Amino acid sequence: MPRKHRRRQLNENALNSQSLDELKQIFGESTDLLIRPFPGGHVVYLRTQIDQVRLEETVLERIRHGFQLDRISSAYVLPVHTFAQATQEVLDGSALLVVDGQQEAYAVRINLTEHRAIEEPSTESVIRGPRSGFTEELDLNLYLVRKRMRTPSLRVEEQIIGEITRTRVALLYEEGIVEPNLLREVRSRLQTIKIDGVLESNYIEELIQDSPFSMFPTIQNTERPDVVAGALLEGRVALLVDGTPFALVMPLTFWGALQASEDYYSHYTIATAIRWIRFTFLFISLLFPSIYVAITTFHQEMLPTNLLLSVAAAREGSPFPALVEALLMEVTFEALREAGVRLPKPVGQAVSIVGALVIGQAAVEAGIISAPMVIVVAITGIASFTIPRYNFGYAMRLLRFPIIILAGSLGLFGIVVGLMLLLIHLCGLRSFGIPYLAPLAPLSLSGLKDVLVRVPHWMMRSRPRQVGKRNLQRMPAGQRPAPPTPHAEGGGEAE
Amino acid sequence: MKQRTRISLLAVSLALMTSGCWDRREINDVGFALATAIDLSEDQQFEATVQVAVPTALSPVSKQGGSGNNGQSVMSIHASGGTIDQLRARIQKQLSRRLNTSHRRLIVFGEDMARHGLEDVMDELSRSPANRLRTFIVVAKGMRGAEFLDTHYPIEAYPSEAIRELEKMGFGAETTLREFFIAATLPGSEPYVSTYTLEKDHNPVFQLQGIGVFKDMKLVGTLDRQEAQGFLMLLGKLKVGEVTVRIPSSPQDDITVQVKKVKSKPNVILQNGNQPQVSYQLDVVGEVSENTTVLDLMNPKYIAELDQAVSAGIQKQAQAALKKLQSYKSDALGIGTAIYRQEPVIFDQFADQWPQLFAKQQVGIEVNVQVRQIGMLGPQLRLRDKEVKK
Repeated sequence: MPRKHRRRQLNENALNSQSLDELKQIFGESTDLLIRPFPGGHVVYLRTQIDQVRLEETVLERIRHGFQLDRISSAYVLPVHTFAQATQEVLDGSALLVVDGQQEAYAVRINLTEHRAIEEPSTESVIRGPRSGFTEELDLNLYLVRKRMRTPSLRVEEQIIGEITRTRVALLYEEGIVEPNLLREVRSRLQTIKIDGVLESNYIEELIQDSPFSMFPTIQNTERPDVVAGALLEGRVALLVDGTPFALVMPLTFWGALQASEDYYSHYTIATAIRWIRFTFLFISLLFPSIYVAITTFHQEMLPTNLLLSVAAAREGSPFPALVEALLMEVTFEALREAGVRLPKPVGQAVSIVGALVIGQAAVEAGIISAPMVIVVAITGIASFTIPRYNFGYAMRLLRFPIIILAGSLGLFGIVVGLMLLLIHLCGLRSFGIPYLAPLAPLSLSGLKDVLVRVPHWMMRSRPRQVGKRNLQRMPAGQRPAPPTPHAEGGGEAE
Repeated sequence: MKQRTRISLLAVSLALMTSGCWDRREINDVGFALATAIDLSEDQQFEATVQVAVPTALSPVSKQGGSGNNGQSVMSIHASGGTIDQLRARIQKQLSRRLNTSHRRLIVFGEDMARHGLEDVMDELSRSPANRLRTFIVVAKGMRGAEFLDTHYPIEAYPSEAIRELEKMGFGAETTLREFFIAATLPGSEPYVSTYTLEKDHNPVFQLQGIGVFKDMKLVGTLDRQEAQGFLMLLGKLKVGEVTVRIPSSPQDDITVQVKKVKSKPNVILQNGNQPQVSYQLDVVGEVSENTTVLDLMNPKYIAELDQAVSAGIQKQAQAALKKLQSYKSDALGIGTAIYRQEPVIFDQFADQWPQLFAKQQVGIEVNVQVRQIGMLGPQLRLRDKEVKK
């Protein structure tokens, strides 16, 4: 409906009650559209979108005796010429001043700015690091990013996506660092989107990602403004979508998905160690149940004898083959996890208690599930939560199941087959033209300084070559702190 | 393209479904052999006794079950036959689970069997991939191996574990299948294994008796405990040993020295062109563990005497071991191998007659002992100061 009016000029014939009727028609019989007369014209606004107090103070009070533009004390006053513009302004929370006999109307933005407080992001919490997270309000989110990067070269390009929702999407990049090709690619992908509505950034993610069938995310989502700022500094591009606290950051590599923001906020030795724990547990979360199944059903000779006998004793009474047991328990665990997320908070506790019984002691004592399997599932469960990017963890958790089946039917051979297929897939993946496994494959030795280890900041002198090749240097050399040398008078530089 | 995807999907799913889980053996459908005893019956047939683990009784977790196995941690199955594979098949017919030997840790040969020769049984042990090369081999001295497996040994979960642990302690030969095969196939060496008996005076328990030496896969004789110690020192393998000696300053009383570290190095020198001369250089580090003399061992003079005496003692043990081996014509020390490694061409000239030559081979043994520690005190604690001979 609204499209029909888009090209109609507001001043087709001088503004008058006729154009007000037209506006009324556009909004239908919406009860929150109010048209209030004032001497010499009318104010049109959506009651639900504007701040009543501000309406009274900045508009109504000033035009009590007739409209005068310079009396309006709002920061945002825009002359409006078309119906489309007028409609959009009203929808965005402006009071539209239609003055009799004038060629243009004026939109005064007095929108209601209700938003929740800036809170700690719940999906990416840190021990050390900024605690502020994005909210659902785009402007507030932009503020959070701008506050961290106080430079004019931080560029914000806003566009509207969604025919009906008309969602504001802001593209952020750091001019001078960002690779123009990447920027062009992101822009062109955004332009191709034609959709009725965008309720969350995932709508956009799925419409612009490289491999739509892959389980692995090629676009990072984050709730943290500091993560966005960090990405922009590396030469990556961010998308902020109105209505969701989840910003999109692209491109994303496999290794990027395993880096947590806190890696950069804690001592590099600890960050490196924790990164390796993550790598280890990534494999555990993917493979541990499969290896257990494969070894206990095909390769018993691989276990140390005492362990084997313990496992054999524990499995003695259990009615299911190891494969069935593993699938059963893993599915149960995933169901519990899902229930825990989805259940209303007051019942959450009930789930954890019952859940602990189901996949715990009770199942073992009843002789339905063997104890080692409970341990395996528990470790796997913990392992899958060590992955900092939640959606990356999903891929691992989901891929676990086919690999368990492969392990149960072909043994270790099956696991290797599964891993090979996975590796082939990962090697073929790209994120906005960047190989998913970069910088390990293709190998870039300098890139490894932030992949296998996290080198200290004074050694991280260049940006990741893959995205930041336009402006590689992050900082000049020779910034390693050192105690002052006694002989050097002018404060000699340490090697 | 689409058709190709379809066909490949079909192929993969068919491959998965038709092949199924063809090798799948659930862990509780497998009977794990822990030890095997192989004996020779009176009618020259092989007899095997296999000890199979009963997991429920072995596990600390499921003790409360009490599923009627009387707490027996192992189950013995016995069969006789002409070949090892026949034995295996016959044992399988008595066992409700599939026999798996990959966790077997011990093979016991009865003395009769060992003297008869192991060449017939060793093929299966080396051929089948299910056998673990780290399985220990021992000989039951003067008895049947099966008796061994029936011994009750409460401190270990199953009796064969006791022998394995004893072997690993380093008193014995620690011969595994792998070492047995290596020694049996190397030019100029013969295999040796530990021999055990049952100490029957009190409760029957295993006891390391000595070392049995083989020749042409047949047990030809055994070394007693003293000779075994000398033998293991010559091999440099000894981990635990002791020598009791008397020193000139106190010729009536014993001092016992624990052997802590042994380094042994055979030297081969050719004389007259093709006469290999072999000599061993033994470097031993010891520690006084008992002193019944009145001497204060803090005095370096006594330690020097002690070094001398212990060297002599070790030399005696080593010579005795060597003499015994020469009388068996079995070069379990691998002297021939040492010659072969240094002078392969020359060794090849007399490789065939090596057992005879070994029996006459002159071997020099030089022992250098260093007693480095004397324990917590010099003289005995009970002695008064004036009784101590400083």
